[in-house]
Amino acid sequence: MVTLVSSDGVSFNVDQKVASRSALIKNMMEDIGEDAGEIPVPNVSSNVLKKVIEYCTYHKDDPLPQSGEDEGTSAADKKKSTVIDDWDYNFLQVDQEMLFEIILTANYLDIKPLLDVGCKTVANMIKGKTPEEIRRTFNIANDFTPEEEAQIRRENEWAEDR
Amino acid sequence: MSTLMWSAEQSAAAAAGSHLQSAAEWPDRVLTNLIRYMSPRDVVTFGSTCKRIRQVSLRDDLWQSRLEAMDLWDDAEAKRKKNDEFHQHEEQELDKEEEEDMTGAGQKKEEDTLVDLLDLSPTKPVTATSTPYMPPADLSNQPNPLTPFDGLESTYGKALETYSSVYRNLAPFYYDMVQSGAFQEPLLFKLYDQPEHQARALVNLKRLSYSLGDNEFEDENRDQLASIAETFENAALREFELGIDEGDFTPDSRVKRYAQVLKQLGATESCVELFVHKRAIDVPHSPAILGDKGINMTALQNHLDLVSKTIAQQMEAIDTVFGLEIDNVSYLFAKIVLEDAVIDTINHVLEAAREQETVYYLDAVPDIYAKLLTITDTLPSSINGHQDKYKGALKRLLISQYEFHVDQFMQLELDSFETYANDLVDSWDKETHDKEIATEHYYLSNVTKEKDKRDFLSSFKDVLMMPINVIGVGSSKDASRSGTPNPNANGSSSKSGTPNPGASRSGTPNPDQSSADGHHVSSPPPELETNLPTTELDAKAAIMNDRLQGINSLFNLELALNITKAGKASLERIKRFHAAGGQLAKDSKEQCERVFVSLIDILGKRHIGGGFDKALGRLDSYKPHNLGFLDEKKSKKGKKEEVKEESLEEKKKKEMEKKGGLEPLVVFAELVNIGDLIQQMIHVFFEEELAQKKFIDRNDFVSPSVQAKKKFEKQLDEYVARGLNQGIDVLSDQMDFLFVTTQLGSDFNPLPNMEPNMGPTECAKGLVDLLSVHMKILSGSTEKTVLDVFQQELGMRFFASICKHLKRKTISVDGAITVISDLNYYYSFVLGLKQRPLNQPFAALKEVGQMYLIDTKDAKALGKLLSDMNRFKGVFQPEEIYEFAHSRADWVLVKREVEKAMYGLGVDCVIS
Repeated sequence: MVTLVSSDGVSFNVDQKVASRSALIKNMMEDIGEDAGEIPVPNVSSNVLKKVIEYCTYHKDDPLPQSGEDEGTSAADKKKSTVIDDWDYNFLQVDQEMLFEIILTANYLDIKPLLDVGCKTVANMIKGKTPEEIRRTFNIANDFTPEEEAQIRRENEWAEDR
Repeated sequence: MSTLMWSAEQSAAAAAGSHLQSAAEWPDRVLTNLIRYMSPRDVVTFGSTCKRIRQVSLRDDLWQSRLEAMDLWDDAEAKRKKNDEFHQHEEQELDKEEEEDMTGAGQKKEEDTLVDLLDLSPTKPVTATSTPYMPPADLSNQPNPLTPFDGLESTYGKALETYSSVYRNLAPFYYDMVQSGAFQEPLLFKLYDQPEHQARALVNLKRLSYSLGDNEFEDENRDQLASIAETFENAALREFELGIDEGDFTPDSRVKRYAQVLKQLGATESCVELFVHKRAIDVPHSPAILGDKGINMTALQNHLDLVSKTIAQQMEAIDTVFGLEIDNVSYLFAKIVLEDAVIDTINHVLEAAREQETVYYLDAVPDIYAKLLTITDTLPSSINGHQDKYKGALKRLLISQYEFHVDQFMQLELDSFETYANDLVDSWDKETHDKEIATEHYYLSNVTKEKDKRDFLSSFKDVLMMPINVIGVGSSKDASRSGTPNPNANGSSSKSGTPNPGASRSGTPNPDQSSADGHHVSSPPPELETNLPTTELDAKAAIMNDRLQGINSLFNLELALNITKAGKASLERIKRFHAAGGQLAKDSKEQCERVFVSLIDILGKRHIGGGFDKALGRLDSYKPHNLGFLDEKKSKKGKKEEVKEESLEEKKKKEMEKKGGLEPLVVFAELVNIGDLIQQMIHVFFEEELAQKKFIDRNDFVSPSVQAKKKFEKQLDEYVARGLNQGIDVLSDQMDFLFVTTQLGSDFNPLPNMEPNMGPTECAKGLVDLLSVHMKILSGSTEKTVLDVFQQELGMRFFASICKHLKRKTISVDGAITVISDLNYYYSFVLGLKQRPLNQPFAALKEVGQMYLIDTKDAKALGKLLSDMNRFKGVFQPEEIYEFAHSRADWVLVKREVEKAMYGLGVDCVIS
């Protein structure tokens, strides 16, 4: 058992196996031993942490992804896991803010499958949207000058038209 | 500068009061991960939302991995190029600087150089932070879906450029196609109506689809494309099939064209499969292959010829249609046909043959193997099959498919040989056991065995030397089986005492019978040539058998011959695998050895060993009294001496005529004879079958067959030695017995009124006869040294017997003549043996005889004679001589004088 403490001070008692879903915590436990006691998880609020623990509990028996293949997963490997399974899909049926928080937490705690499934969901959200729509959805400020925007449009032509 | 922008942005968002963190602030890892799941179009859109996201979206490694998904990125190539470029840079740096100043385009170039220098480490992932993105040179060009990958290189920093050019050529067609639905003809097919082009473009689109990101929409598109490609492929296959049906296989034919199309689609497998399926005409095997008696090889050969002809007919078509572009069709085609028409057929007929009779199976397996080895050679060489290479592969395939039979054959061969041989021995054992009680044995000894043996062996050798086809295959079916019709029939017929050895062989053709009668073979009529040697051997065997009937109850030469023949047939069959080389040759060699070892086991240990054991048992249990059963009868009648003498004489005569000696010993002698013969037979067999053909190195002492052979020979020697030993015991018992029973008390101590008997006594004659008969029994059957030892030992026993006998008897001066004549008689017999060590003892005995001649009155002379040790040539000790003197009838009278003379113990001595 390990205790995870959220940024707002809420403690979660979690099975070691569940906590090991996070490569970060797993490495930490390996480094400082089994009885790690309380592990603070700053900048993750209790409601997000709770959600993430829910994911980890559900997936606690999955094979661990190989470490070190973070960025370099080959296209062939990814192809297999394109489809989001039902549980994950329902799990991610949350408001946008929560979705983003989950993705960022997954990134922070290094839970690769959760990060992947989150990114897939976001990629689907982006699909077919205009830049302006995307900015709105993702709260992105446009920092281009009109000239720059024109230039970018030209450069992007190869992909725009069919 | 971007950091600055960042914080401004961040604060702006915070100021806006939004609780939603801007995606622009997400860590790189999250953004790149996200971008991987997006289609290129979305990436581009996403990248145009803000500067930071744009930077990430332009990262070279992201585009490299998309190229990699299309199999268009070669990281090693890119690294190599980078290194080359760096070196080039160093060299040209100076020149460049000058140029830059002059052209004024320095700014841009400078940036390039910087980036390159920064990214020098080959392992460091390429960051695109400041790589300027160069749009494809010419967008107005028509997209080219046919050869979009031509001339592409893997260069760091240019992955996006490469990708975009590929994308531009393919994506419009791709999205058009996957979205056009079932009823609308895709743009691609409108523009390109040649199936070759369509196929090529389709394959290219498929490749592009792998790089479009892993999300549900693209998955659907990919599925769509796959189903279109499948439909296309099926259509092409249909065309291909139609072409095959048209039967036109020229270079311009539809078949050839669609073969190319299908190849481009990567559907060679189904294409070849279809072709093979359509063209592989099944060759039904004719029922004639399986006859009533195993497999008809001619029919099988015809079938195989037909099959290879069928294959050959298709080779030209295969070469034209598939050429070198679609590999291995000749092999696949031939493989299918061979598996269907050859392997299946062979399996079928072999199985059936095996059910008929194991020997048919055994006969067929090596033959078929030989045929399989050659069948592929008859096929034509094919361009598609790399000239003759495909044949080798086919051959290996056939052999591996056939291996099952070979393995089974090896085991079965050994098993059936063992069963056959064991059955022979068993049934024979049983038969002899049944007959043993009732049978009167008929002995024929002291015949010219040596000559017969030589004859027999030479004909045996002839048979072994015969070419395989006489014994093994075809005609051999009868020849090799001819030994099989059980030897029991022969054994019993010859046992019935037929004097004509030829007639005892029921199945022997006439000319051979006559030749057998005459003991030599006149040149046979030509048509019988192949049969002759075997039957000659049979005839000889019959002769030998006839001669050796006496030991029929112990073992049977013909049986041995049959077993050897079966062994030879077995070996011949197995040996045919030897030519195959490799593991098979090794296996076959081992199997040969196994057969040979079991041959020795069965023939040597079981048959001969059993015979010897029985014979030794008889020798053991033999008591001399058995012969003397007449004594008892006669003694009852009361007229002891004369009748006994008479009857003994009679009996002896009978013995001489009929048996020529003690029955078990004679039997044993014959046994030794036959054992020796069989050993030589096995030796010849070994030499001819195994050693000479280089199967086994006869000096290879670890080889099981050599060991078994040696062991057998040793065992045989042991039997002989044991037998001789027991024979000697039995004989010396018999000698003692004869001395006791036949030497009359009056012989050496005649009653005063009796006529002095001149010449040796009957007893002496009987003994010498007994000995001479038995000593000659073995001549010619074992080694000379063994024989010498035997005779010498027997001589010494004889000598001891005589000594014992003399000491037991009372000898009067009158009887001394008889004693001396007996002793002389013994001496001359011993001289005749030419065993020098025996001469002296018997000469000494003669001297002993002299002392009985001396009159009682000459006691002193007697004493002198007795003390003259030189007379006895050191054979006897004084004590022994003294004991001999006890036998004198007048011993009491002469004792004092003798002792005085010998030991100087007498009164005279004391006085003087």
